[in-house]
Amino acid sequence: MEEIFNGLADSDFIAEFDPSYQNLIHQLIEQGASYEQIGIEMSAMPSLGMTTKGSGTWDKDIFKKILAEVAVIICGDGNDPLSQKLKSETNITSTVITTITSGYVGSTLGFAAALCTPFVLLAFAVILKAGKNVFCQSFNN
Amino acid sequence: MAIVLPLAANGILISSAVLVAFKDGYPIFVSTLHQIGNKSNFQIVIPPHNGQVTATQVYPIVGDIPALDVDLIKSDPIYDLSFFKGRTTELQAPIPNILANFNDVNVGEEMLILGYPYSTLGSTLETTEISHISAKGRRLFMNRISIDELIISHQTLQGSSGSAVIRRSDGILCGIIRGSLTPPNVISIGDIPIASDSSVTYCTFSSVITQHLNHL
Repeated sequence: MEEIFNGLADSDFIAEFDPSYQNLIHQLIEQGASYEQIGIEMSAMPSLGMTTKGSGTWDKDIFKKILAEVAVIICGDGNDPLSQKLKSETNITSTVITTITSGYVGSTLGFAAALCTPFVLLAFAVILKAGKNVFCQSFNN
Repeated sequence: MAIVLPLAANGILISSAVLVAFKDGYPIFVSTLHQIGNKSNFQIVIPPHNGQVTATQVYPIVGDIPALDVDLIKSDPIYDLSFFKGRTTELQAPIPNILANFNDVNVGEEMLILGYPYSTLGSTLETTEISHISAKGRRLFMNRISIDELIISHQTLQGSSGSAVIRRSDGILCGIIRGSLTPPNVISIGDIPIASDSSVTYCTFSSVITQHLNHL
């Protein structure tokens, strides 16, 4: 998987968000938050502070689950279906990686791909910010 | 007036959704995100009154109700919004103007709430309720980022999520119903807290809808 992310940085994935979301994330990072904190807080947001009837269907651990799924792939041996799919792409960009990963992770965890996308972006940002090796060492421990 | 229709997943109604735009001829609907969970196979159901809330609505509906297949194309967990794109260009319906400036709405203004209370129980009866803005809120995300919200004097019911908040004086879309304030630790039956029927209801302010539509 190493070669897929060559030349890509956390900022490439944050740039996939709409401008208003990018600004929001940049502000939070400048003020000391981490991508992981943002992802965890975002997971908890939709029904924060009130009862939204039907909120029981929302998984507040969605970011942690997606980060774990992405980590298994990133830190794995590269023989999983997603890694193979990504390796087969001729023009690999953050957009392509995000689209393919959202679909794969969504089908694995049972969520619609578009629901996963913001969390997938933050998951890649977490990993690339830390550095793959550092992240995987920490994740495997 | 905005067109509001029930949103279904796997053949079960789950909330209300508002037609907010057409992109390349395809209809775009907005609803809340919190009820989506791990659902799939989304449809916009089209009851016989076609979302014309002033029409007389016959019930119960006999036979299958037409439905439009839609795809979840975008989610916004911070603002609790989900966007759906229809798979057909054959739908024709008016779209509402969307209020962009939070300063252009005032406490006390009269609002119409259009939606499908109890849609989760299968009801396709669309209702309009008159409400008022009881407060303008600024919710903090991670204690740093401000999120504009309208608080209205409206009692939400199952299926109300995603309802349109329309200013009565000019028909402009001002918000999307999210849910109501609930005292903590109330007794619940399944997913439904018994004591949640307060009339302190939170709505995502409409400006963020336009921001998303500009980047679809």
